Amino acid sequence: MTNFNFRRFGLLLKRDLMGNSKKYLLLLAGMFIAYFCVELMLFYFPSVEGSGIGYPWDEPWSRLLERAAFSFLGVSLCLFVFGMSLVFSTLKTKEQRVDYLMLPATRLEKFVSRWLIAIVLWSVGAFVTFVAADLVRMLVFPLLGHSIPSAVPAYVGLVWDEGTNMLAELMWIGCDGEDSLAMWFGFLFYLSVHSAYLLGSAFFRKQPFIFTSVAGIMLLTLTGFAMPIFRKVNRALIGEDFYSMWLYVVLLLLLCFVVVCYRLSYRLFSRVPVVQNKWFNV
Amino acid sequence: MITVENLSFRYGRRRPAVFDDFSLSLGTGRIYGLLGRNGTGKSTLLYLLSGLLFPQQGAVRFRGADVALRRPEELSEIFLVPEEFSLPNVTLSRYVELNRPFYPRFSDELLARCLHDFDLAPDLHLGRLSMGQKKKAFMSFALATGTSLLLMDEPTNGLDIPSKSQFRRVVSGCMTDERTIVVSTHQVRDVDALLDHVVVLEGSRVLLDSSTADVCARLCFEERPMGAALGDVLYEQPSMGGHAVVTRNPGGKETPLNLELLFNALLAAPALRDLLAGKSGATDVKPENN
Repeated sequence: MTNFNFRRFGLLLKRDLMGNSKKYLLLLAGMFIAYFCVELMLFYFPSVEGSGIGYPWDEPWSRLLERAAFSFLGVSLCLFVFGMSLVFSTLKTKEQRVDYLMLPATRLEKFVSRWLIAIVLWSVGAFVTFVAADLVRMLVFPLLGHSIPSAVPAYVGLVWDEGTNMLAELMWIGCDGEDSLAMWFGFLFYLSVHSAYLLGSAFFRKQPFIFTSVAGIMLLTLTGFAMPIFRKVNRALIGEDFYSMWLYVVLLLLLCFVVVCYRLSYRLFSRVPVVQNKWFNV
Repeated sequence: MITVENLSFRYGRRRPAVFDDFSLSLGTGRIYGLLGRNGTGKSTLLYLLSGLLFPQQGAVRFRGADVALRRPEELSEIFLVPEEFSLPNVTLSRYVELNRPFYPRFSDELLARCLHDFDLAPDLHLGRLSMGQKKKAFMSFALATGTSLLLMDEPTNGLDIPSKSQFRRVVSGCMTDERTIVVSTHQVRDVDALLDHVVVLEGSRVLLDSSTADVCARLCFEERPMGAALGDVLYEQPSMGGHAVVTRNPGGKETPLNLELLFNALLAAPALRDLLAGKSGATDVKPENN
């Protein structure tokens, strides 16, 4: 028996996409609305002649669009994390669990197919809906007598620049050690948040996004109480080498956290019972 | 084909055990009726047989493999029609197109025959059907998968009267020597003519595990008018015409199996179980309700 059959995996993906197409279209519509609202918030007033709340009305549009691109990137990253909490939304009800768990495919195939759909839907789908929202905004604003150029080039440019810078810093190309470590920290921290929501999706039977967020806030609060202890540590006394070592330890802990989250998510998914009345799948 | 070995299962540590050291074996080429009171664990047993629940002890083996592993090799040979199910909002043909690749022995001909017998059009849309129609469509698909083991939980619930006789005809028409069908139901009158074998559960144990032929060879199920003699009766309950009775069948008389009467008799007369099990001393069963 093979634990992963690509043909069967493809059939799973097709079944999931075609069978849940209306649900995914609704999710994309929700993303579209989110991006359109952000577009309105960022561009409506600056585009009205003589208004310019927070922006001088004669400021070049390019600076406005570059700043706005960061907002869109933030929305995209948040949506991506939110999407992880919906990976196992197909196992919410008993009827859905019976239908999905009885499907003749391995647990790994089912897990990867759900993960892949979430990744693609919330990354590619997010970009497509952003472009659509921007296009609609560009069509609507001229009807109201004002306009701003498309934000897509600025967004794509930002993602490209930031992406290539991030890759360079992760690979220690053209930067010093501290910058690289900081980039690794940022990357692994985001990945940790991402994988925590994946674990939340597998662990919480109901409202996984809310409960995972609450758990995350509680953890951050506890970390906040511990921070003053670290701040009291005098960097000069312990030495740069020891301080850098701690950064490596933190990076290693974050990486372990990501691995543990994925491992636990898979284990919870593999052992999910069809009858489950608790709030969590244990 | 499928064996339950010393199975113990409970929902949560503080809940009573549904099954405790429970064992059962189901063979091929039979339609099993799984009967029991509410809360006995019939649906739970179906979930355990299909690997949807994990026993705390023991195992369920399908052709030697543990079903709890949920391997596609076993899953492609087991299909469960639950009491409540969800179907996507697509046409039946699209549903078949998306799901049939997972079942190597799927038969379009069998599906068409089942749909015809259920008076369903082949081009129907699953989102526009009533609950009963969805059930018939889903059962047609289940039968067409050609799986070796088909589990059905309360299949006649929600079906109208004509559909119940259609159900019996369709299921018996799809039966083969390599197939096993397990029907869990309270609606015994809907299925008593269909079953080859009866398993009655009570309090996490098997009250009866016997073929219907064997039951009918040992027992007679009769209607006796009011005032008739009941001296030879093993069990009796009031009926429209007088008394519905269960008696021994020493002469090999053929009477139709009355599952409802049998079920009540098994619960009320423990010695009847020994008689059906052929245990020694069972000949000393005292008739009930003289």
